[in-house]
Amino acid sequence: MIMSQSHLKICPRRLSLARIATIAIAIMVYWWAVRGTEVSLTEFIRGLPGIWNLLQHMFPPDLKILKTVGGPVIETLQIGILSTIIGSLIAFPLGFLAAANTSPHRFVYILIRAILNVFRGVSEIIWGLIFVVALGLGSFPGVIALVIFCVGTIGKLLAEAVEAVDPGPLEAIRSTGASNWKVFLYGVWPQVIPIYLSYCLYYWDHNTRQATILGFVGAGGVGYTLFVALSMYEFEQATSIIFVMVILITLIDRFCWFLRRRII
Amino acid sequence: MAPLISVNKVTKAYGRDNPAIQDISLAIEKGEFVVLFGPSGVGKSTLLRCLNYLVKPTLGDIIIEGKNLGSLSKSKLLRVRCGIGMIFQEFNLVNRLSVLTNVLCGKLGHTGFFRALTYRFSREDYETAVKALRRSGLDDESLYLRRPDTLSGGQKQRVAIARMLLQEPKIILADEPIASLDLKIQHTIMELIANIATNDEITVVMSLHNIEIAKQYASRIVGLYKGRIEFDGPPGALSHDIINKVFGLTEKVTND
Amino acid sequence: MINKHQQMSGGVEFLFVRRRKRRLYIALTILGIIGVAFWAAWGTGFNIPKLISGSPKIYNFLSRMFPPAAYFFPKVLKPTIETLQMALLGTTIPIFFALPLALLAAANTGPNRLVTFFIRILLNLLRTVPELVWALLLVNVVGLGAFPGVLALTLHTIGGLGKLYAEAIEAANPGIIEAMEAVGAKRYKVILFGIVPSCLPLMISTTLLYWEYNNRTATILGLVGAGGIGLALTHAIEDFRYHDAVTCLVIIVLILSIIDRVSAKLRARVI
Repeated sequence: MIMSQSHLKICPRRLSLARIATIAIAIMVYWWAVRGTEVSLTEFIRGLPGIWNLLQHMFPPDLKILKTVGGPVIETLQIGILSTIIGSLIAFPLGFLAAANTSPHRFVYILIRAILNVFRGVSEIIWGLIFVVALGLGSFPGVIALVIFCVGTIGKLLAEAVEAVDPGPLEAIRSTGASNWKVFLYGVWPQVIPIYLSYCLYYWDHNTRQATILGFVGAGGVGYTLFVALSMYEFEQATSIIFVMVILITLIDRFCWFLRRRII
Repeated sequence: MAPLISVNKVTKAYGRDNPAIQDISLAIEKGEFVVLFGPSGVGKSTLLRCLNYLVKPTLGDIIIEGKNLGSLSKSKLLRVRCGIGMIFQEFNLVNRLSVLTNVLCGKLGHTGFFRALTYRFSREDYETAVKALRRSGLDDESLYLRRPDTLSGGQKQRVAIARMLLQEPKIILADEPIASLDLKIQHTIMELIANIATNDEITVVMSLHNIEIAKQYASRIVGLYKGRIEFDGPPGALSHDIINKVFGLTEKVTND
Repeated sequence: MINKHQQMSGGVEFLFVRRRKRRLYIALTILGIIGVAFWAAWGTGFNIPKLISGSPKIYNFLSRMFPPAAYFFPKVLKPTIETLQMALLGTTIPIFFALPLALLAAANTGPNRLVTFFIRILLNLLRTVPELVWALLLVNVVGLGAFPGVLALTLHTIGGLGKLYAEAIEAANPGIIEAMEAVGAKRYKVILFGIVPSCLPLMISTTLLYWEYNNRTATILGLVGAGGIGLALTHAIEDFRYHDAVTCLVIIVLILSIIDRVSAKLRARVI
């Protein structure tokens, strides 16, 4: 905004070349992406009456199905809660093993980090798909899939938090003649636990959200109900179910937000 | 009488760089108030940390009360550390724990496994902690359960001093304890430390870069420059000429 | 003297009681969580024997998947690129919509509270409906392929970025507004030249994070026919071509790791 004269002289010329090159590359990448995904405004406009058509099929929502949706909703909640609890418990020791400052050996550090990366690298839905194929339909594979993803994400985030711990207080506690594990309990633990709990809550929200769609691959819960409804082209039912999903996710979101404020 | 602390030709080098401290030899008697003086980066912190073996010297020995710290087993070293209290420039309190729990950390060396695990300290420990806090000048009990991050710098250092008091130390190590405090508070805290040292017969080894305060409180000044001892004597003998000549500092800098 | 001693003990007593109460509170919470866990386990049919009997099945399955089929790698190239393209478009197109919406939805830049309220609801609706659901609906509208995938991501991301941008705008330094108003700038100028530039680093960082997340989501949109490598993966699993499936997985993990790194580097330069 306020620039000195000399700065004005240098800036435009140096920025010109780099800027133009960047913009050109961006445009090319964009063009390539648009071609590749066949995004087209004309197709979209052609499809608009289809949207109107779809909306007509979807409304008014079929309220009868709401009676039977209670069970799957509870199942979804259970999947979300259970997978978060188990996942965060397993992630806890792994997080410390994956942190450079608390890992017993460099090899362990690298190994655990790699495992965590694989766990979180693959989307939960894909894990869900894998486990449904391996174990059959139902919410059991869904829980396992979410546990694996949870271990990967929370594990990595915990490791980062442990590495970011302030070493000053640790030094102070060590200087009082406390053994290593006491330094950990009074120095590392209090710094790490609030962050860990915050992540657990955040991922409970996330896991419940994912649990709603894991049903698509057969892993139980409200997602499965939706999948069945859409396969049978029962669009009014689908609308009700989506409506319920949205309310469920919003409630959990609010609740988690409220709890997180109390922890931090 | 054998000195309380004996530093024998201690050198500490980090990697292949120049050693942080080189060939340091010192004998400190009980009851002395030794100030390590010198500009930043000259090795004062390293030397202090060698004294309680938070940093292991590359060469040389540290002998405290006749025990060579390098030859002690882990548990015996911890015992020795129990008797050495340390305060820091950045206070180093645990922000997530209450002021009281921070002070109670001073007792960690003496607390058993299960008690420490569940954060259970005895009633006596609590009373001692409260006494220590009062002695450090923190009478307001509403502060005790608050987190340290709501306190001022001076108050934080008082908490750190209270923590140190719980150790009932024979030696106090202080790494620039007043550098992060306002001018007014600096003297108050120095008075506090000096009084505690005199009343409890504690030997103090403190690093400072403020020459005026050093001269005022020290019984002995050890000047360091580039990792070596360049001066060792009573504060009276440290004239401005010696300071300028030895450290290459201008008078203005040393008088801040 | 006696009074002082009593007072001091009284203070310590109070601390002790507080400690005890807090311990009880924590113990109850932990018990509550364990209880909930058991309830959830019962509901989802999760139990240890099942886990033990299921493990060899999983191991069996996974061992059948390895090693990845080398011949399949080139075949996966096109869907992979499609996935990346979907994620790119699905993150960048929403910016043009999310930014104005965010300006309307933020308390300090919105025109009035009614508009703010409704825009917020709209954004929430967009982001709460899972992308997969959007994709499913859109496949019914524009057919299969990557196009509905891009649309699905776009809709969801408008909601997500809109909300995050709005939060960044609301967290803007009020000092900047004050300063610009003091200079006599009109409202829109205050927003355009004051607030937005100051929130820019945070917004760019958020967008990069969302791009990372969208890449992950784009890999699974193929499940419902909305393009990308998810489709290849699903087909491979359905046709029992497990080696091909694991090839897809390996590619996915690799690509996402690279994207993670790129995103982290870019974010470091922005902040």
